[in-house]
Amino acid sequence: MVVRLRLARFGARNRPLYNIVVAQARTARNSKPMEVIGTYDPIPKPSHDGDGKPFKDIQLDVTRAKYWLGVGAQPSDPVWRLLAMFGLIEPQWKIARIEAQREDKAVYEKVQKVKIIPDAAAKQASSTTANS
Amino acid sequence: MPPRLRPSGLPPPTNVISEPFSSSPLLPYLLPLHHLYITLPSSSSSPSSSRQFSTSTPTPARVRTRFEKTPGTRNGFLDWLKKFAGRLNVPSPQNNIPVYMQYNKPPLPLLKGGGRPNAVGFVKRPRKMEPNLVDWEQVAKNATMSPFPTNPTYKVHPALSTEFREQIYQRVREGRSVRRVSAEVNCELERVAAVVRLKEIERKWIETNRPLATVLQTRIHAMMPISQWKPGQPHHETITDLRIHPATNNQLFLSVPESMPFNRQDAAKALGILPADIRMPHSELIGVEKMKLQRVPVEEMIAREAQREQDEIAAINAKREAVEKRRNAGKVVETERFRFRLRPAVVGQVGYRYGVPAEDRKRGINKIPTRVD
Repeated sequence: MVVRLRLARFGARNRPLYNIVVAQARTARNSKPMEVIGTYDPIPKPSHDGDGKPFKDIQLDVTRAKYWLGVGAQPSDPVWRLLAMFGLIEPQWKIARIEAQREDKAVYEKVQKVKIIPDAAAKQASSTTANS
Repeated sequence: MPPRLRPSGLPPPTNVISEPFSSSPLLPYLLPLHHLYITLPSSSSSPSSSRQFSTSTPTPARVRTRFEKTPGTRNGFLDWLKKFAGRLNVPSPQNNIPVYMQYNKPPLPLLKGGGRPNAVGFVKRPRKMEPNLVDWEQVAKNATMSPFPTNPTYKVHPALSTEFREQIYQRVREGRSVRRVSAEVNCELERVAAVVRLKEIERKWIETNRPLATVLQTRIHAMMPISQWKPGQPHHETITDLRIHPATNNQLFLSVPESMPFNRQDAAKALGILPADIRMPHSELIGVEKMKLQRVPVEEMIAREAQREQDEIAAINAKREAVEKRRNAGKVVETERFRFRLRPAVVGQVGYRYGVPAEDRKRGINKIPTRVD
C-alpha cells in the first residue's frame, strides 16, 4: 500500500485546521496516522503590524518530511505545495504556471511576484558578518 | 302587548335602586358589577314614573340597558366605560399591563426663560414641545437607572459626563499613563482608553470643522444616569473588580494537609493561573495600600511608584520585542495574497491531538485524589 503525505482535517465547521500526516493511502482521512509531522492553519491571520499581507502558519518537522520523501512517500497536491515552500521538492504548481506563461502574461507576472524571504535570524547573521 | 301594571302596585323590588340615588352620575362606580343598570340620557327628561293617572301614551319610566358584552372582553361595563370615559385611566383586559406600571410621562422641565408667564404670573407650558426650551441638564439629573419605564428590570450603567471625559483626556495629555489616570479618577482602564480614543477623534473633527453630534449626546444623557465630575473625589465605578477566569469555571479537587495554610497564591497555582492579586486590574494599588500601612513617607511612595512604572514599561517592551523576534523567526514565503510563516517543529510535539477518551467518569476511576504527594 502507498504511504502518502497528506492533510487531516481538524478544527470545527468553517474553521479548519490541518495536521500534515504520514498515512497509508487507503485509510480514512482522520484515522490515526503513522506519524504527524506538522500542522497547517489555512485561515489567514491579520499581520501583527496592522498592515501588510495576512499570515498563514505552517509547522513542519523538516527532517522527518525529508525521511518520508526519501523512502518514497507520495505527497498529495496541497502537501506538495507546502513542502515546496520549505524547499524539499520542486514546486509543481510553478512548473504548470511557467508553461502557461507563454500564453498568459498576467499569470507570468503573478509567478514573478512570489518571492522567498530568507530566515530573519540568518539575514541578521549574514549582515553582521558582512559588516565585520 | 302584555297588560301593564302600575309601578305603585308592585312590591318594591330589592334589586331596583331607590329614586334619588339612581339619578346619581356616580352610579356605575358605586354598584357591584353584577346588577348594573343605567339610565340613558334621553330618559332623564322624561316625566316621573310616580304619576298615578295619565291618559297620554305611557313612556317607559326608565329604559334599563344591560351592557352589551363584546366578544373577547370580560364584561360589558369596562367596555362601556372605555367608550363613555375614554380619557379615564381604565385598564383594558386586552393589554395586560397593570395599572401601576402604566407610563404617564411627566412633563419635561423647561429652561428659566422658557415659558411665557401670563398676567397672573403662571407659566403656561407651550402646547407643542420645543426642544430648545427644555432644560436638558435637569432632565439628565432626573434620569433614572431604567431608561424604559415599562421595563423596570432593564438597568443601565451610568454614563460619563462631558466634564468627566474632558478631565480624563486632559490628564492623559499631560503624559500620565492610562493606568494612573484610571486609578486617579476611579474609572475602569478600558473606559479611560476608550475616552481618550474618542476624544482624539473629537479633536480631529473640531479641527476639520466637522459638526459634532451634540444633540444626540444631550438626548442620550437625558435618558441615562450620569456620573458627574466631583473635583475632590471623582468616581465612576469600582476599578478593582476581578474578572472571572474561565479556568475557575471547572471544579477542581485537590487534597491538602489539614495543617497546611491554603491562600489565594496556592489556589492560583492549583488552577494553573496567575494569582488574583496580580490578575486584578489595579494590582499596584495593593502595593500602595501596603506602603500606607507601613507608614512610608509620601516622597518615597511616589519615588517607588515611579520606579515600578518604569520597570513595568521596560518589561512590556522586552516582552513585545521577544514576541516580535519569535514571530519573525523562521522562513517567510510571500505569495501574491498571503505570507506563509514556515516554522520548524518536532514530531511528537506538533499536531492537533487525536481523540483520547476521558475516563474520569468510568467506574472505578476516582476523580477525587485519594492521597497527598
